[in-house]
Amino acid sequence: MHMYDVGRDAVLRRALAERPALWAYSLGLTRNPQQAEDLFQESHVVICGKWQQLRPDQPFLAWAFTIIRLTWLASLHDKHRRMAPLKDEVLERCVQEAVDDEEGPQGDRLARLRACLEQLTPRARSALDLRYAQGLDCSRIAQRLTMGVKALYQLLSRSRVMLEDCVRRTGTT
Amino acid sequence: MSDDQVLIERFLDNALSEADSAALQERLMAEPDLRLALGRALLTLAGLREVLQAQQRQRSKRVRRALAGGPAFRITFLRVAAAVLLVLLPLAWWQLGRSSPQVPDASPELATSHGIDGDLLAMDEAAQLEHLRQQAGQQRHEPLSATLLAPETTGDTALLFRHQAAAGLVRAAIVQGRVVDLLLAEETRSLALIQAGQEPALRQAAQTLAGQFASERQAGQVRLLAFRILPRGTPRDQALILISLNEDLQGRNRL
Repeated sequence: MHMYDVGRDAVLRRALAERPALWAYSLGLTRNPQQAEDLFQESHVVICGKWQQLRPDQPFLAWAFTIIRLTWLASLHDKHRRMAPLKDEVLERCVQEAVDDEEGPQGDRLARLRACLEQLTPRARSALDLRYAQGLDCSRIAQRLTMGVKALYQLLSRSRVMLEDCVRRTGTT
Repeated sequence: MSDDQVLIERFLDNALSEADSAALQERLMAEPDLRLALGRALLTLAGLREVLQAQQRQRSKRVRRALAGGPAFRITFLRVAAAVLLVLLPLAWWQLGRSSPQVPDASPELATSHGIDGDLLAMDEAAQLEHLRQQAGQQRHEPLSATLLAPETTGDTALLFRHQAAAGLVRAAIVQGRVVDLLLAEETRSLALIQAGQEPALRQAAQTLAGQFASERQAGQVRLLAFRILPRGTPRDQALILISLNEDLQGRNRL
């Protein structure tokens, strides 16, 4: 898995293939979809510039996570932001273990996710769209959907768990 | 719904206190299931982001494609737009017809300050119109002057008359199927009125107008008529109406 041609194109292709994991890690650090997007893009610029630093025997994800983390730390230093609440290695383990737990190619998983999304209620889809496509914070979404913040957390969480189950179930059938 | 799921959601929303975050970290180090749950949550959200953004791109693409559509699409679009206008414009026209004869929302004080006869306000609509006709010495009220509508006639008054006429022309145009052209013409006329920018002069002209009538009562009646035609018009609109009515009435008196 880790033995691949360490050319620029190969690194970029790998970064492209691993973008869900990289974005997931960015979101874990920032806990804000908009900031995660910025971090994800800034890190990609660095990955494109420093591709030669990736050693052939080095796991790509670990290397990319380090770049994302350093980019995040630099932005914290620049803007005096609060540090992420979790230790880097804890968050890294969470994402890595979930990646290792996954089966099948990413493209297939996304297709299943798209199909599973259709099974959600319109309200749940709206909540997910507002949170993860438009990047609104939960208090604003709760206001817009005329519901309490805790109820929104439960709706988002229930929807996400349902999606996870659905994706796994449809992957095994 | 387990408490852990809500905990993860609150973490993702950046809504945990430092103490809660520290407790979560301790648990994550000790509990593989919780690590997996958080990792899966993050990955699911990453997948969702891809799917939702792809759907958004798809929607934008459809809109762009529609906007940059070929001749066939444009014809369809114009047909649909014309069909919508065919339904909406008569409705709007009917609504205007219903609302314009009503006495405007102006209070009696405002009406009096504009020289409107208090007796008139108390009358019903039909009686008001009849009273106005009698006072103005008219047997009937012609809507527009053919001379003022002639293309060679210039000036604000002519513009106003054309503007007013445009509404009627749009209605006629619906029948003739030339909706888009005439709506554009209507917009051009409105812009011309706005760009004339002669509000102070028009106000002055409106004030002068009152003195040109035989009596203050007659001037007030004309003002009322102006209110009736453009109940929600700006002072500039009303001034324009007053001027046009004055010319119209003077023309009739000469006749």
